[in-house]
Amino acid sequence: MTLVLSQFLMAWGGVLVGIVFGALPGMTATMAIAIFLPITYGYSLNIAIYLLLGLYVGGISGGLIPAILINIPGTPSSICTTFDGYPMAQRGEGERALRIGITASLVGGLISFVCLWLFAPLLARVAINFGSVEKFLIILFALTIIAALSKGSMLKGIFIGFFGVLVALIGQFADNNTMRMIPDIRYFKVNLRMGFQLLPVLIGLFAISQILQEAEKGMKNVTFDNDFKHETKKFSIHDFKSQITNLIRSGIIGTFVGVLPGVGGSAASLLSYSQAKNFSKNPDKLGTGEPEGLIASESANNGLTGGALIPLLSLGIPGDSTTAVLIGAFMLQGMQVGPLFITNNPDIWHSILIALGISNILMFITMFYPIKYIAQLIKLPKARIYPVIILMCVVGAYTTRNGNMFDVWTLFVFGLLGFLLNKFKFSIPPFFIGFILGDDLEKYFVDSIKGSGGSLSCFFNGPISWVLWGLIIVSIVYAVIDSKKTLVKGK
Amino acid sequence: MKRVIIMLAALLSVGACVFANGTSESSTKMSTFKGKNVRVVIGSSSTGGDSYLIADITSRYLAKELDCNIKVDAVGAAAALDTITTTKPDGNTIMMFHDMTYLGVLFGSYDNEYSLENFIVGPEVVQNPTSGWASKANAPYENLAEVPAYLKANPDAIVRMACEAGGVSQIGFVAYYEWLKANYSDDISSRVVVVIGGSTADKCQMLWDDNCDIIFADYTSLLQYTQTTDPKIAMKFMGLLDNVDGVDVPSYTDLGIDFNGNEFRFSKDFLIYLPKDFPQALIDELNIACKTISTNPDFKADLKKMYYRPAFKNSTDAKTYIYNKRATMDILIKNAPSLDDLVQQ
Repeated sequence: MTLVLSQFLMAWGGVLVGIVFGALPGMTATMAIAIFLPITYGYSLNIAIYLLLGLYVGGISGGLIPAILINIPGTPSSICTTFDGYPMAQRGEGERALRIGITASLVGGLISFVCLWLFAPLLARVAINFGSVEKFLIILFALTIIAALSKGSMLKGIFIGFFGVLVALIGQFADNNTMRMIPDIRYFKVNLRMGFQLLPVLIGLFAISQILQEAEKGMKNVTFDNDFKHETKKFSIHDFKSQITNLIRSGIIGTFVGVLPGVGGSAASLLSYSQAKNFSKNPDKLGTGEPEGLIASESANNGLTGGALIPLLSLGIPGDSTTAVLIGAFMLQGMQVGPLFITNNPDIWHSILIALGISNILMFITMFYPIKYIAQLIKLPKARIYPVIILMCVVGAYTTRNGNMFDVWTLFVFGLLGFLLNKFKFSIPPFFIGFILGDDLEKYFVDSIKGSGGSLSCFFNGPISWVLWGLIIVSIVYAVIDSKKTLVKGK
Repeated sequence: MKRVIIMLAALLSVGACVFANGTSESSTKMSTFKGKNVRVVIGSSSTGGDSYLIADITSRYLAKELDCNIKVDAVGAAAALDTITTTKPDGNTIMMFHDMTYLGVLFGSYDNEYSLENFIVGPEVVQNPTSGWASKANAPYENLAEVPAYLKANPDAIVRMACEAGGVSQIGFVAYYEWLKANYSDDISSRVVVVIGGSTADKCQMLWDDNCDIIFADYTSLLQYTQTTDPKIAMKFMGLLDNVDGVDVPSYTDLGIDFNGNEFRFSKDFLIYLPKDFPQALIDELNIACKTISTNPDFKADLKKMYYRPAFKNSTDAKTYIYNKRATMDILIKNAPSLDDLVQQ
């Protein structure tokens, strides 16, 4: 009984702390787990795993709060949540958007839980068949969302997206340790060796640039909801009536992307959002405050959690950066993760399943009911909120690499870049999407070429490649037609 | 626009004010670690690899012995080297890292300003002897020593070995390649080629995709692949760089793979590195603490779970040892062809 209570409290504590980490710009689930990792050594893995998975689920889920309320994604994987979540908040439906997002997160999390429980070895086997060629094509497919987001100004969108890819390639090329695009100055050679860090870039582009824009307008005594309409549409379970397919499809996409090691959580929500747009009856409305887009993004985010555990527990290969940190927890307890983990450690396996299921439910309970109070955030004056956000961003950036001032300067530089991009009517999301996917795009392209001995024909071998090429082409053609329609309407 | 400039100036000021000042400590507290908050930077940014695990376990025991608080920061190689060459010698920041401390400079990945001469070599605490090679379970050879015979019998065959550029795996490869060159024809050695791989997960995927034939990794990370019967992922060990207690896998020495006629063994040596002008009193304190924990049965048991072993050397002996090791590796690297020439064309 004491054990069960300890496990429950650990999971709840983890969820609570995780939500706070996810909600603070610049803090992530990975950071939360890394910070709490040494503490788990004092507990048995049967207890520690509840804390760690609580942090994981909470950290992934918390990102939707700032994404919806103030248009600042709390985590990289909640970027698509801003596309429709913030416009809903602007319409006065912030609380509704939050509740839709939280419910979608729960469903996505539970879908991934079921997949982990029932199909872990099977899905891990499928994942092995996705080599570097297939992963390159998946990243390319995720990149096609840039075209979908750039309707009406396709050329600008694609240009800025590929500029993001270029910026992602700054740093050391691992295959021969060559430094690329780094000034021959010691300070830059030390700090840019691993390129610009993801989190300072994210919060710089989205948070600091937005604050600069608001500063330009002037924000004395202005609250967020001054600009918002005050419609009274409340959350209802009927919001999901026509969204069941979207909800399940997105959860499955998130889970599947999680199963593929090295593809990442951001790709999950991008792919899911892109598919929601492609299958939508009203694709034009996505990005204007449609629950459909919000559901796609949040269901996929949390779908990732169980998905990323599948290759970790069935193959010993982490599905994402957060589960990579979890390996440390197992190793510190002297436990190897690999293909025999589930067979050799049935008690830990069951603890993981229960912990993941409970954490998702606790996340829902912890967020869904008190959210109306959190939603009041928008009634505070911007002049009070923004300084706090700046401070949190600075602390978040500084802790990205355990205390590196360069990351704080990165935050401000990208904040200024975001501000200028807006001034020149470039959209920020395509740049950021290019940035987060650029590194993997190159890595899997180079790995594919190495594997094929230099032949490009490797990208056209096998049925998986053809299916992915088909999806890429459909997505681009669809985006071009959509863009033309928008231009015609504009005239 | 004026408001933006003012806002920007304010932002920069916040950053500068909050972080520009380091903490200062009175010089009276400098002669002992007792009560200090010590930051241990490590040369890896991962919290799942041997660098973090060894630093974490060692720090936990050291903290008790030194009566101080120790926090391990996985900052990565570049930041760790930069920190240890620039930080104040006040005992608040030390580095714990393995042979990549000097190998990065020998391989040319890091400038000479990060060579061993630019910081103080502290005591050695732990060795990780588990680095080695593995192939698919159904590979037509049982260990590295059988590869030449396989190549002789199959004149069109090549063997692709996946390793990282500029790391311990490159040392393992060039030592093997030099042995091949010294003992077999050019035709044999030229058909053993390099495929550059990244993390262990990447290299496993390369093996499963048939994009390479042999991969380099730690024994513990591949152990379960050698125990499974699943033909798609099953592996077998081809040879370790050193012998490991309780592990029945031959080492280079067991296989007769030598370097210039001398026995070749390579374990990763984890040493504590300190900034220049570090007080001798603190070094002495560290030597005593490391010696004490290295005999602690709990510490040994914790390390043994991961096949690591305590390997205490005081700072003087550790310095001589690591300088000699660096000299040997320098010869090995200078004699070997560049990895670019060994990569499969």
